[in-house]
Amino acid sequence: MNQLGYTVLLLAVAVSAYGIVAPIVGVRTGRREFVRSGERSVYALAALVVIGAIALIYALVTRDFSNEYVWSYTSRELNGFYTVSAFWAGNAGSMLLWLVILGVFQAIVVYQNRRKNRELMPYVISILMAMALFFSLVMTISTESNPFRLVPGGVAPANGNGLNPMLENPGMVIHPITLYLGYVGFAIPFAFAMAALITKRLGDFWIRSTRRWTLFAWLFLTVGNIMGAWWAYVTLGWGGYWAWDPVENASFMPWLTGTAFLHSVMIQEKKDMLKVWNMVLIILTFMLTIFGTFLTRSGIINSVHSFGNGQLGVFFVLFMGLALVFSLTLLFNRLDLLKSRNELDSLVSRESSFLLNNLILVGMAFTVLLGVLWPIISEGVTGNKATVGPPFFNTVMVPIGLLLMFVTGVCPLIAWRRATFSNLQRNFIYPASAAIVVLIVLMVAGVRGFYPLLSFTLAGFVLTTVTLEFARGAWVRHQMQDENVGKALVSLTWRNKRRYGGYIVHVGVILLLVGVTGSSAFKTKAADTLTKGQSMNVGGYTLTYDSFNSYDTNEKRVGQVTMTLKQGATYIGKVTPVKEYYFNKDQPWTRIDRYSTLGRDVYVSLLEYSSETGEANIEVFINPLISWLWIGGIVMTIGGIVAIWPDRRDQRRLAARYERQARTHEV
Amino acid sequence: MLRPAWLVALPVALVILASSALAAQAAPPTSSVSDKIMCLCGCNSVLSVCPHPDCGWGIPAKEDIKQQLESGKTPDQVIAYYVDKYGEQVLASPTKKGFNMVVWVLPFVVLLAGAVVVYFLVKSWAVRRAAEELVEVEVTAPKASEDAQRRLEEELRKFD
Repeated sequence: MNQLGYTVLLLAVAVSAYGIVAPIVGVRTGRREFVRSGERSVYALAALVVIGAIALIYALVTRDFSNEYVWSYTSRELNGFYTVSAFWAGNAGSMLLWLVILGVFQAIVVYQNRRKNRELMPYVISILMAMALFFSLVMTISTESNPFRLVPGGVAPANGNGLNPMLENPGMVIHPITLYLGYVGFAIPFAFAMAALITKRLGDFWIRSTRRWTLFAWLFLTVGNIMGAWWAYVTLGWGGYWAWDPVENASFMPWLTGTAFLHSVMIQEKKDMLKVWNMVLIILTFMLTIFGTFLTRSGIINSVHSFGNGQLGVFFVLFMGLALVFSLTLLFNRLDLLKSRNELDSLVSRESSFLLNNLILVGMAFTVLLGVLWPIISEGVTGNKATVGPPFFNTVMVPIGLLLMFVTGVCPLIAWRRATFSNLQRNFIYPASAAIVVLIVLMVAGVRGFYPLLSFTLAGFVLTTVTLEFARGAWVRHQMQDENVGKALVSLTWRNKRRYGGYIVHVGVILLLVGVTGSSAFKTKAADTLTKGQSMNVGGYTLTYDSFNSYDTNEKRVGQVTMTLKQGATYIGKVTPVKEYYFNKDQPWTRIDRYSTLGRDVYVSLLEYSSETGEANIEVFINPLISWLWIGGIVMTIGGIVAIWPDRRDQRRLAARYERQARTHEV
Repeated sequence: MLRPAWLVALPVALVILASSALAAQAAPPTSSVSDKIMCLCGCNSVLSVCPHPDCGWGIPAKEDIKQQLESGKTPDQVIAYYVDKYGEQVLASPTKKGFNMVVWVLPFVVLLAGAVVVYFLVKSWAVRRAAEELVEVEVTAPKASEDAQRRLEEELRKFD
């Protein structure tokens, strides 16, 4: 199987190299059969990479320890379910995952466009194949990135090294793959953008053709980031979910620029403006997805997730350099053609508020990038490597984030084209009043602190804005169509999926930020060493140590403390934090337990225990409102799905445009 | 009946107890330092949140910080001790002086500069639009009067 896998990778190198050249030759010489052959090479590549993936899965499932990758990340004791996450637990498997997703996406794109975008497609294929060539080359040339490399000597050891216990969590099965679906997804709009530049078809066609791909990538990046935060929260045991780790930052940056892109393309669609800016944003987003993969896998900036790897770093730097030079040169050459009649009806309009939104999102991405690179920059300039950790990001990003929250609320209140003073006044009055009410209620309830108060107030403002948006629309439908309000609400959303899906996403973002604010500003923590029968108090809760239990499995020793949780005098339930010790890795691990409500989480972690005395060192965090972070994530996902759902009217409109374009082109 | 010696000893003991309790209260929590320095075990997290339950660097460091704080050092003094021992790299965020000032200020400078650029761009685009509207009005005005004149002539013709 390993032989087959490696052969498949070698073939993938050949096929992708062919796929870069054939379509271009076809277009330049006018020989259509070459273009068609290029298209077929895309399907061939998809088949090859899927076979490669199956070969690796087979090796993992059968625990073929003669394969070094399988040996490194699995063991005979590993639960069958987590064998899946071993696929992307290491460097080589992650490279293969990138290639597999890219291969499958390419095939879908070619199939979708088999009768349209005929001028763009040869270049789209060529560009996507260049990425495929890079990843297949990395796996075949750089030995440590080859998922089919045999162990030294080729003789299978009796057992494998086993998966890092950190990764034995459902979150780790989902988080990396969603993130990669997002990363690779942005390659599609990027390829179309480049193809548009090459063919000088610079209208909004490339944007409309890839609108759903962009949304898809954005949606998966969103889910991937939130799943990562959730995984960190339930696994790492320190009571938090986001540590501004370089790898978390790596997936946050393309999300920020991708979000900016999603917004600014609307201006190009509506007003035919910002053509250059949209190109810049998609180039930036794509580069950041590659940079993200690079950060995770090159080890240039050490982090919990990265794997020191010099050779791979060189490959990535080269690829990123080439991609950047190629795309920027192309963009520069087409600047004349990208000039648009930039005009706005007034200074204050939805358009200008979108520009502000773009500025803040890109500013945030810039700040994160600066923070990520600062250790290298400061070492280069002063010789002293400075560390840039959470205190920096929290100080700098919180005010910018609050500004973004404000703009999120204000945007929908400002009319497209031209906002007049009277319509601004009319639109602002209710949200602003709601915000003031929220502020007063919180102050009376004893909530203090400038940032949290501001954040909750803005949340009130934005939520009222969005609610009004829905209410106004539904009311109109209710009046005009004689629908009941519930039905009006549903049909309103269904008839304007993009717009109202977007608003649902905004609600999700705000709920998420409410969770972030509550859990970061009002978190309380207590730690104590207890013996049986003793209690500890934290934030109005009492935890009493009931019993201790210890047992061994094949791979680990498990120590488990059972505690009774009470709020005041009311019995709530039992919590059982666990500490494990993995024999073959000589590594302990904590598995937290938590009692979660909409108001707060009681998060209990067993730091240390003594088997002899039963003494246990317990750490407890009270995380207010943290559930809203996950609820916000779910709402964002729902909104994203609504926006991405096929819209028949939209598709008909696009189809008509394709037809018109085809006719004029024939003429 | 209390003896005079007790009368002296009792308040003195109380004062000592109270002051020791106060002193215990006054020792800042370990997190006042461990939130601000990195764990150097290779996990690349802040010391207070290192995910390794058996961290060879972090656990002794936290114990040491606790002791230093209890011995009466301020958090800043303990941090300075660690910077002295391990270099600036141990700090969880760059110092706010020298070249490192750039990383703190640059994001806001970039945002502000961006805001100025956006403002002037939007303004120039809006002005261009306004100028065009003005031209449109001038162009259409005579046309309207031509129309009116023609209609007037027609009406007059009917009278003829």
